[in-house]
This record gives sequence, C-alpha cells and structure tokens, in this order.
Amino acid sequence: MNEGSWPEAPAPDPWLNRALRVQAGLLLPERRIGLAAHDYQQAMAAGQVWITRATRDASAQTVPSRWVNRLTNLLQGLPDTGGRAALQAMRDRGQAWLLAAAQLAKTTPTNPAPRPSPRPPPSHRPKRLSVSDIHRLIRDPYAVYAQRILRLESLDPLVPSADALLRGNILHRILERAVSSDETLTRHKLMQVADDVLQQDCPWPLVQRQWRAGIGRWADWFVTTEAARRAIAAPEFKEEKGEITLSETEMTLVAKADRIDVTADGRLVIYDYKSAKGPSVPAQRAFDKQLLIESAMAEQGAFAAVGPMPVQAAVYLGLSEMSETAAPLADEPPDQVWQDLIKLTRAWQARSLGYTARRAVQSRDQTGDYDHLSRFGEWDETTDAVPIDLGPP
Amino acid sequence: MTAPDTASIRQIQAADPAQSVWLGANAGSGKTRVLTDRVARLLVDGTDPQNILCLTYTKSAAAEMQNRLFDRLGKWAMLPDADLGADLATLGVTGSLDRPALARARTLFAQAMEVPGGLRIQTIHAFCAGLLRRFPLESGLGPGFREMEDVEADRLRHEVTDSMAAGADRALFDGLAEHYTGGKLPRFLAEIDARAAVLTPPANEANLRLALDVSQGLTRQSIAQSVLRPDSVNLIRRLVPALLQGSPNDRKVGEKLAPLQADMEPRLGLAVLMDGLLVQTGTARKNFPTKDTLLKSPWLTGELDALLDLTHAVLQARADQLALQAVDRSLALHRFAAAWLPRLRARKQALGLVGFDDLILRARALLTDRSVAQWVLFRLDGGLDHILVDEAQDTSPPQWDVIERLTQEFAAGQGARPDRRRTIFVVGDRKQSIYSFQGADPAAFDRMEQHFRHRLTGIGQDLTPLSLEHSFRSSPAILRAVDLTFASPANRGLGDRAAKHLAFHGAMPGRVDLWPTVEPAPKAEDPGHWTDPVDRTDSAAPHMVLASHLAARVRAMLDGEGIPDQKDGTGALRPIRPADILILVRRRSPLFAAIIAALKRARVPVAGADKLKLGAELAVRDIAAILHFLALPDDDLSLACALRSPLLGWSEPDLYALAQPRPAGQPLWAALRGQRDQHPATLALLDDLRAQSGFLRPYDLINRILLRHDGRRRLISRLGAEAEDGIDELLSQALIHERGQVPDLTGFLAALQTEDVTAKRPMDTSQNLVRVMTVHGAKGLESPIVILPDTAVRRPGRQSELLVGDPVLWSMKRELAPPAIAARIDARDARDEDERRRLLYVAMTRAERWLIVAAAGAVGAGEDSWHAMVQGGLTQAGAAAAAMPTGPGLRLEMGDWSGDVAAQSDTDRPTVIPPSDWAPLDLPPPGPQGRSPSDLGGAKVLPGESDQDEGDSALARGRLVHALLEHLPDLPPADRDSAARTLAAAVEGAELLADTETIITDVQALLDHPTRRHLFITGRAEVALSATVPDLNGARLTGSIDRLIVTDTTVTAIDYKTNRLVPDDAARVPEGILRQMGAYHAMLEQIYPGRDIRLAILWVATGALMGLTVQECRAALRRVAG
Repeated sequence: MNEGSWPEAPAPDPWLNRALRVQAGLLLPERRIGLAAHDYQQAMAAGQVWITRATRDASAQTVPSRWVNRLTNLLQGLPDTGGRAALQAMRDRGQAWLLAAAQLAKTTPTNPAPRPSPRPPPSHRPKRLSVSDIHRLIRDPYAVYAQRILRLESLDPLVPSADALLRGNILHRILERAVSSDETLTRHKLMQVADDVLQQDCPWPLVQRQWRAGIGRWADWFVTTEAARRAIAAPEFKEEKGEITLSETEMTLVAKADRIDVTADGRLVIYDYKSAKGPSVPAQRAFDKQLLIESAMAEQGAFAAVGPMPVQAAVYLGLSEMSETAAPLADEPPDQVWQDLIKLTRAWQARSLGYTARRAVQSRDQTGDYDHLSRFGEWDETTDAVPIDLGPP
Repeated sequence: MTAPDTASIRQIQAADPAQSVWLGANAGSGKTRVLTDRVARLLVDGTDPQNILCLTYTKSAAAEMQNRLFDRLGKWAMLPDADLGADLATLGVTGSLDRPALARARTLFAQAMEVPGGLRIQTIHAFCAGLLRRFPLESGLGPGFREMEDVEADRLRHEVTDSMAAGADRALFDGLAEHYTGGKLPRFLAEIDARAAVLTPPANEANLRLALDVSQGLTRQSIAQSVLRPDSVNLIRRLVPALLQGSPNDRKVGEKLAPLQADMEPRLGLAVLMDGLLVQTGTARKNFPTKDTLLKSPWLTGELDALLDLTHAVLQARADQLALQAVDRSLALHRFAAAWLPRLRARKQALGLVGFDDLILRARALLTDRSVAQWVLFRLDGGLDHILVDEAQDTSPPQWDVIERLTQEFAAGQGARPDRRRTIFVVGDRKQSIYSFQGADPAAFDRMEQHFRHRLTGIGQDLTPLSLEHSFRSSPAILRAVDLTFASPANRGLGDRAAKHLAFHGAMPGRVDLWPTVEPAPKAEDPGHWTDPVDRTDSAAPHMVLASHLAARVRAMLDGEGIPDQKDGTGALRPIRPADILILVRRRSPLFAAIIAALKRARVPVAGADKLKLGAELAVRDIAAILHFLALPDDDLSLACALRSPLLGWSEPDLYALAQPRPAGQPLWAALRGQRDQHPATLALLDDLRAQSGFLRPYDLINRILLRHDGRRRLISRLGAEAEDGIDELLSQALIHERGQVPDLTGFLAALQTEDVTAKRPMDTSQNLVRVMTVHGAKGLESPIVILPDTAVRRPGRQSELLVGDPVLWSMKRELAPPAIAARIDARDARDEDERRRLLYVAMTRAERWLIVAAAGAVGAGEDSWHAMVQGGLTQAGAAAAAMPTGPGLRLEMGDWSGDVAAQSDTDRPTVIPPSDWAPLDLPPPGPQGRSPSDLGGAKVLPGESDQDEGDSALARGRLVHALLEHLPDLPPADRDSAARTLAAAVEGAELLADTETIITDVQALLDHPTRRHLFITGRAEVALSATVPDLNGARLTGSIDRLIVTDTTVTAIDYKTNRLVPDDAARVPEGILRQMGAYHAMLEQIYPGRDIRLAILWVATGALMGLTVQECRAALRRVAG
C-alpha cells in the first residue's frame, strides 16, 4: 500500500492539462484514483484485512498510500476514544507476523570455509608441469591443484570479449608473423601484418582500431630496436615448444618460447613478448621465473629443434611500455636454475607441502580462475591456510 | 509557551513565505525542517499545493519530506483548537487564528494528499522528466521516450563508436585512438558525452592554435628549419671532434651529435640536436661541455655563447613541438566529437532514449525556446508560484538554468499574475558542495544569489539572505574541532568566511580522537627463495594494521562501552549499538575492503560495502555456478564450485574423492551420477533443478534454489547477512532481464557476465549494523560515532580528461603541457583540492558525539592530508595527549564520559510476542492425489525380463521409440531418416543407447508395415487426459495415450510397449499393463459416454497389435490397492 502502487500515479498527459480537459468535458486522470479508492474501501470491509507496505523500494524510501495515511492519521488523532490503542493493536498484530517472519529467516552463523592448502599423496601429484604452472606454484598453488589434479578446466565465457588474454594472443601472432630472419622489419610491414591479424582475429571494430593505434605507438620503437636485435642474432625459432624431464624427480617440464634467436657463434638469445612490460629483476628473482627457466631448459636441450646451446641472453620485450628487461642470467645462471628446479619439484613431491590458495598473489585485485572454487572471499590473504590431507594416507 | 530561542527564530524567519530567501545552512542546522515548515506555511496561507515546486537532491529526500509534511498536516487535522493554534504559532504563523482559519488548517492534510498529480516535491530530474512527458512534441521527443540507465548509456555509446570505427569516419576515431593512451575508453566517451554542450560547435584548428598560443603558420617542418640553420650545423660540426676527445660524458654527446649534416632532412637533424643537447626530461644538459673537455680544447670557450643560443633555440623548438602536438591532440578530440555526438544523438532519438543529463538539457531547451516556453509555462497546471530548492550547492549550471527559466515568469511582467505573490527559496551550504563530478559548481551558488537578487530587485522585491549557524546535531567539541580545522587559510574552497558553528545543545558531551597514523613498514617483506614454498600470511601493510586496530576498537565499544545519551549531558551512559557507528572513507580502496573484512572477523555486525558489484558477490557467484551447470552440465568447474558452495556444502576432501579418481575425459557430472548412493541429497537437489531448468524462468529457478532448497538460509549462515543484498539484486536483475528479452537461462547468464552490474546497498539504521561507506554516500546522514580512517595523503584520483573552457582542451601530462593547458590543469587541480577540503567538512560534520580520525600511510603536515589538517585544528583547540590504539594521539573532549553504562535497553528486544501458533500453519485439506495410469503397481514385463535390467537405458529406449512413433508419421517418408537421427540424438539419455540404428530401422519398418501403417496416420498421438476414476475411490488419474482414434461410434486407445519379451496372447499380458489400460478405459468412458471403447497394445518389438478385453482390464484396475 504505497503511493505510486495503490493508487497508481496517473500518467502525464501529453495533450491536455487538467483545466483544458475539464473545459473539453473530458474525464480527469484523478478519476482512476477515485475508482481505486472504491476498491480499497470495499476491500477494507472484509472480515480480516492485512495492510502491508514496503518501507523502501529499489532506490529510495517510499510514501505510504494516501488511504493508509488517512487511516493511521485518523486513529492517531483520536486518543480519547481509543483510536491510538486500536492503531497500536493493529501495528502489534502486524509486528507479530514480522517477528515471526524474522524468526523464520533467522540463521545460525556457521564458520566460513578455511583457506585451503590441500595435500594429496605424491602419487596423485602432476608429473608434467608447464613453465606457467611453476609460476602458479609460487603464486597460487591451489590453481595447479585444481587444474592438474582435480582436472577442472574453466570454460571460455559465454560471450567472447576483447579481453587482455585475446590482446596478448593477437600481439604474439602479429610479431610471430612480422618478424622473420629473411627480411628487415619495417613499420609498414609491421602495421600491415597487424591489420591482417586484427582483421582476422578481432571482430570488434572499435577494439580493433584502438589496439591498432596502440601498436602504432610502439611500432617505431620496435622496428628500431629490432634492427639492434638483428645485429646480435637472427630470429630462427618462433613459438617453439620445448619439453624435458628432470631425471632426478621424474618431472617433465614443458614450455613454449615466444622467440629464440641464434647468434653467429651459436649462442641463444631468448625473447618473450609482454603486452605492457616485463617483470622487474627482483620480481624475476622471486616469482617470474619464465625466462630463467626457459634458458635453463634451452641449455639442457629441451628445445629439440634448437638443440642444447649456451644462452647468451634472455630478454622481455615490453611492448606498450617500450621497455627491454633482461633476465638476470648472471645472478642466476641456467645451471643454478636447473638445480633449483630439481629442488622445487622435489619439494612438491613431499606430502607435507600443500597447494595453498593465493599463496603470494601479485596484487589483491588479481583474480584467478580457481578463486571461487577455493572459496576466496570467505577467507582472505590474512587468513592462515589450513592443510587438508587428501587421498589414501 | 516558552519564548523561542535564537536558532528557532532563525528557522521561523527562513520559513516565512512572505519573502524570498537565500539561506546558507551549516551542516546539521535543520534545513529539511525549514523546508517542510515553509511548505506547511505556504499551505496555511492558502497557497494551492499545485503551485508549489520543491526540488530535492535525491528521491529519498523527496519521500522523506513528503512523509514529514504529511505527518505535520495530519497532526493538525486531528488537534483540538487550542493545541492547533499553539502549534501554528510555534511555526511562526501570525495573524488571527480564528475558527475558520483553524478549520482550514485541518483540511490541508486531505488537500495536500489529494493534489492532482501529487505534491511537487521531487528531484529536478523527476521534474524535468515529467515536463518532457507533458510536452513531448514541443521538446522534440517521442511521447514514449524512456530514461536510460548508466549501463545502457555505456552500451549505446559503445555501439555508436563501434559503427564509426567500422565505417567511413574511421579516420576520426583513429585520430582519437592515436592520442588516447588510457585504458578506460568507455569512461572517456562518457566524459565527451557529458560535455556535449561545450563541445558544440567544435573548435577548428585556428581556434585551437589561438588558445594554445601557437602561431598559425607554425609546422613541424618550419620549427626544424628555424633551428637547423647553416651556422648551427657548422657550430656542431666544429664541436664534435673536440667532444669526442673530451670527458667520457662529452664523448657520448659527441657520438650523438656526430651524424648531424648540413644536407640532412631538417626534422631528423632537429632530433639529433635534441638528443645531443637536451636530457631525457627535456631540459638543457648541465655542465656541458665539462671542464675536462674545455681544458683539452681551450678554443671551445669562444664558442660557448653560440652553443647557449643554439641550446635555447632547441629548447624553444621542443616547446613548439609539444604545443603543436597539443593542438593535434585537441583537434583530434574536436573532430571526433563533431562526428560522434550527432550520431549518438540520432541513435538516442531513434530508440526513444534519454540520458539523465539529457533530461535537464532538454527541459532547459524547452523552457528557453521563445516560441514554446510561454506556452509551456502557461500549461503547467496553474503555474508555479513558489519554488524551493534544496541542496543548492550541488546544483549544476544547466540545472540552475532550468530553475532560472521557471522563475522568469515572476519578473517578466507579462503572464505574471499581479494578484499572486511569488517567492523563491534556496537553501544550500557552499561548504558541502562535493558533487563536482556530477557537474555541481559551488561558484554558481554565489553567482546565482547575485542573479536572483538582481532580478527580484528589478520587480521591487527582496531576496533576504539568511544563514543557519546552529547545529542541532553535533556536540560543541566536534564543532570546535571543525571550526579550527577550517580556520583560515584552510578554509579555501569553503566560502569567504571561516567556518563558524554554534551548538544548539551547548552541553552535549562530545569527543574528537586523533589516532597517529600507521606508518608503512620500513622495508618490503623478503619474498623468500622461489624454491622454498613456505606459506605466508599477509597482514603487515599499513591499511591492514589499521583495519585490525579499528575492528578491535569497535568490538570493544560494542562490548560494554557507553556513550552519553542525553543532549544536555546528564544521565548515565547508554551502551553503544552497532547502528551508532558510521565509518567513512574517501573511496572504495583496499583500506575500505580491509576494514569490512576485519570487522567481520571480529564478529561485528556490519553492513557490506555500500556499493556492491554483483559479479563479485560470493553468494551470487555460488548461485551462478549452479545456473552455469544447469545450462551446460559438462561445465566441470562450475559444478565443482556449486558443490563447494554453501548451497551443497561439499568439503575439499569430498570434492577430491569425486574429481581426482575419475577417468580422463569423464565429465564431473557423469562421475557424480555414478555415485548416486553416496550423495543422495546433492543429487536430489541437482536432479530437481535439472528437471525444472528447461521450464522455469531464471527468476523462478533462482527462487527455487533459494526457497525450496533452502539456499538463502544456507548462503546467509555461511556468508553473513550482507550476502542477502547480493542475492536480492540478482533476483531483481533476473526480473529486469525478462522485461527486455526471452527469459532463457543462457541469455541471462550471458547478460550477467557482460553487464558489470553494480547496485547500491541501502544504508539505513533500521538494521542495527555498523555502516562503512564513502563520504559522498553519507550526504545527509548523521551518526553518534563517526570514524574517518582514510585521511592519509592521497594522490589525486581519477581526473577529467577534458579541460573546460573556450575551447575545450584535451588534458595531457603536466610536464609536457604547453602553458595554456598547464594553467587549466592547475586550475582544475586547485578546484579538486578545494573540493577535497569540503569533503572533509562533510565527513567531520556527520558526527554527533564522537569523531575518530585515523590514517594509514604518510600524512605529511599542514594541509597535505586530512589527518594533518585535523591535527592542526585539534592542537589549536587545546586537545590533550591521549593513548590511542595506534600510539600516542590527541583527544578533545567535553562532558562526562565516565560512569556506569546503563543496562542494555529493551528497545533491541521484541516487545511483541509472536503468535505461538504461527507454525505449522493449517494446510488446506489435501485434494485428491493425482496418480499416473502407468504407475498403479503390478508387473509390467514378463518374467525373464527384469524391470531393472537396464535401468536408464531401457527408459531411454522407450522414450526414443515413442518419440519416433509420435513424430515420424507426420513427415514425408524422404525426411524421416534424418528426422529420426535428430530425435535419436535429442532424447534424454541418448548417450546410453547402444542400438540406436536398430531401433530406428525397427520403427521405420513398423511405419511401413502394410497392415499397421494406417494406425499411425489416423487419430492423434500423445493424447493427454485426466479424470477421477470411481474404481479407485475417486482418485484423480493423469496420463497420456500413445494413440487415440476416435470415430462417431468407437474410441480406440493404443499403447506402445517396447518390452523385449512379448506375450503370445492377451491372457499373458502383465498385470501392470492391464491396470494401465483399465485406467484408460475408466477415463475414456467418462469422456466419451456411449461409445464403444477398445483397448490395444502395439508391441514394437514384433509389430504385433494385440487387442485386450475391457473386462480383464477393468478387473485388473479394481485390483489396485488403496
């Protein structure tokens, strides 16, 4: 029983105002309100009447229906003849039901889900990890657990959208096609390839043009620095797959290198394209091991087509920031990384090590595909992880 | 009657409807009351309610004012003469209050309530929308136009831009994209849209060059040429050899300059010079050439003046280049806008959509157009004689224009009705203007005061300036802190005078606490070696530390601390309730999230974030996980998430036991079905929902999860009360979705995913929860205890890209900006700075008795941060040193805060006992139970063939055969084969069938069978029927007959049976089948009385058609138990 619902607000009349309607002998819009008042009056004559209303709607508090207002006002103003008592009694009867409803809706709080750190037996743990899995083992091991052990894959969204993932893929595709050892890269060629790839893989005109403008901003930088890269080594391998087993822990590592250049004296320069910029050196030492691991794998001969060759340098090419960040090969030479990998994969064979959810995520805002499964939200990063032993002892 | 105090006298003066008033009202000075009083007095004076327009800032404020007004008028309607007279006198009504006058006052309640079209107490948007709806043709809109939500507006802008990027005007979008480096294009487009008025007409290049002080002939070429004169090239060529032999630094410079040649392309040459002579930041190289170099080549000294001149020329060239770039940038914006805005307008027009800003602009245009404005004003019922404007400080210039046009009639003379008094009443507080991002302009508040004064003076009327300085809300302690915090010069942006507040309740106890800031930890935590996977718990960040201190403090408050209750400071302390506490932040930052999380951990009842992102709400994601699974059962991850949610309550080990051992490639759902016995409750729920999901609208489906399956309670008990708001918003989104399109599940899920729905959470005190919200959201609110934890130095947040002025310029990095743009950036920043100060004023004045100011991170000094400003104010006020949770702080206190806390009052406890018999409710007596003819008991197969033999696959086979027999006969024979295969793939459980081909061949053979063929083309297939059957004590049966052939004299019911073992004769037909056929007979006999009813079975396996005797079947039916 709110104004606007009962009675309904009369629709504004685009043709005549009230005065003109009267002059023209037409009915006034308020007539409908009068009719609704009749309905209300009749309904109020029933043996039992419930008057209810919502005190607020989706956006604001509400105004009680004029008839309810009249009724309560009348009763409120008749203290001597029992009006107030009658009104209070009405309200109490209603209140009783509201309380009953509240009781019905009452819940007993239960404990929130813990921050999980599942510990499956070593025999259930994955025998094959990609370089990005290793990154996740450092940052968010639970994701590896859910994807590699529970084998729960997230599906593509119902509606494809121009997201960061697609942008990354497209940039990689463009550079894969534009960079070749046979000819010098020019801005013209780069943009032509960009147009082709965008045309093919990005069906949204606005996004297409926006991304193209973005590429246009770093194209000159890329072409200039590409000449310098060519002076060092030739781009021999692109999107090259590598695979190798650490015999000590029987763990197979797989990787896909964006680009491997070979110098005249048979040394490798490994590049990785990043949409914005590469990880800082401290971040590379603590978390982002991609190029360091790829270098170690390359020296061990993981890239079959390339063969085992010494790595001279490994560099992230940050496109939109137009930055080159080298992997600290001097501080962490491939041999050492190799030993570290053995250490890491061995550590993950221990039953006592759990796949903690969001162990060290880069930022709190960062979301992962398996956050929901891990019940992130019921806990946060300040919650201690709870080990959960799984499978046969 | 006691004499009114000063504060009340001011209020009465302001509410006097005899004069037009411009009222400045401090926070908490009771302006809503003055507004209500003024409207009431206008009515008492006999003003027709239709002639009053009262504009509020929010819909809630409008509703609250109406309710207050009705309360007051309603009271009058029922008061006896003496009391009514006294009440009117308190209000300031003078003159004779004789009986007729009183009687008239009593009628105002009904009169106000029944105003045709309702009282005009509304927001300016609602008013404008009403106006446009009344005059759709005059305003150039279709009568059916609709207001657009923000999400919709975003989508529309995107659509228009998309079509532009794909079409002939692509170059214009490319131009914009080339210069736009931010990541928030939708936001930028929204800004361009919002600035449509000042972007039309677009500026051309000449305008922009003028504005940016770039001479018309300047080009990149001419800049380069002016620097690259022969003498400068010669100078450099002379210098290079010396540099190359100089100090290491100079050697590098020499290498950079070496390529410079006289015949070089000038722009390339300039680039070489810049690279050589300037450093990265664009300033001249210092110590160049170095002493070492000069010592080696002393002759260089003679060249230094020329070098200096050249360096200056290069610097100037750089500045010119940047200015030219700024011209290009703004030009790209204007060119784009010139093409884009008209398209957007046309698109809106075509769809009949109007944005919120459009409402104002269109109304303004309507009221400005000379040819219709008078007509419009005349047709507004009876005209608007009295206009009241609330929160005037947040009124934007176009809104002022509308108000101004509405009042124009006053002064215009013509059309003015001399017999009627007309007034304007404007109330606002410059200090509280915090909505510049919605177009509010505090300067307009002062400007409009002058404007209206001038206009009214022109027609011999006055505009009385008044101010309300008394605060009815806050304790003197708080007001003192506010006044001193904003003492000059910190009052910039708050108005000319320093803030000055008078406490109405002079003895109200109060307290202002300043906690020292939580300093950032000195060094980032060592992340550890990467191969060493030790778990880390992260709580050292300053905002986390502050959040946990705050939560502990709030917990302690609720655990027995008290707050003075009486406004005069007497009486005992009362216990602090959650609803007493309001925590205000500047924006929804990590601190904001940390505080809510910390409060929850401390088990403080807290309302969730004041704005909720639907997609991020855990409860919503839980429900969505189930819906995703229902839409696509092979969505393993969604199923797993649903299982782990409170809705199904699986633990991590439960999920592991299901998911880990399953064979490769097996969907999780298949694995779950294989463990039917272990998880009966889960499967019951999922089976039920799967059975319904094809039929129920998303809204009903969600409700089924929430109610029938007790989802709401399960979610709330695990996730807390705030989960409820997300759930409710999801439901309302489901309703909104089905208003616009076919309510199918996949469509709804897709919409949920693409539309980033945010909703406001109601933040009233009715729920007794601690509230955490932004200062902007707290406009108009008050609370006994206010905590401001977000007062550290803050880098300016999002700033507008467009710099308003003539012409509009596109902002850029301050370091690179030419002077004209830099000046506008500085002006914008100064305005923002002023507004930040006003925001602090608003935040502090929400407090009634206890204000706590805390910070995490650097706070600086002076006016660097809110924290430092409050510290300054408190120090000046003589606040005492006091220990605070984060260290030694300050406290300004008055009144008695010691003493015992009164026992918990009863108000929190229900005074009314719920009816004891509310549950169980009396259910209506059970109606006759519906039963199915095929479910009346008795064996349905011959011995040797087990009912359970193949379970699901036998059922699937039956379904397929029935479907084939139902649909194939109607198709031309040529189409049957492909249709059969489509059906075979579509029937439920199709994957369980191994012999699909055989089934299809058998059925086809049956359809072609010379003596059976006719069966499938006469009569009707799958005839549903329902009847009460006397043989079963009147139980209602509902079923469907596979084929029913009705003629004038006979009715034949044929049922298809897919039994493998077929009886040789009718006598051996299993009991269950006889009962079923008997039931059909009993039903048909009622529907077709007097006809010969025949029963037959078609055994699909053999193609045999077997007639059954009616007597046998009816006898079998009577054997059905109970």
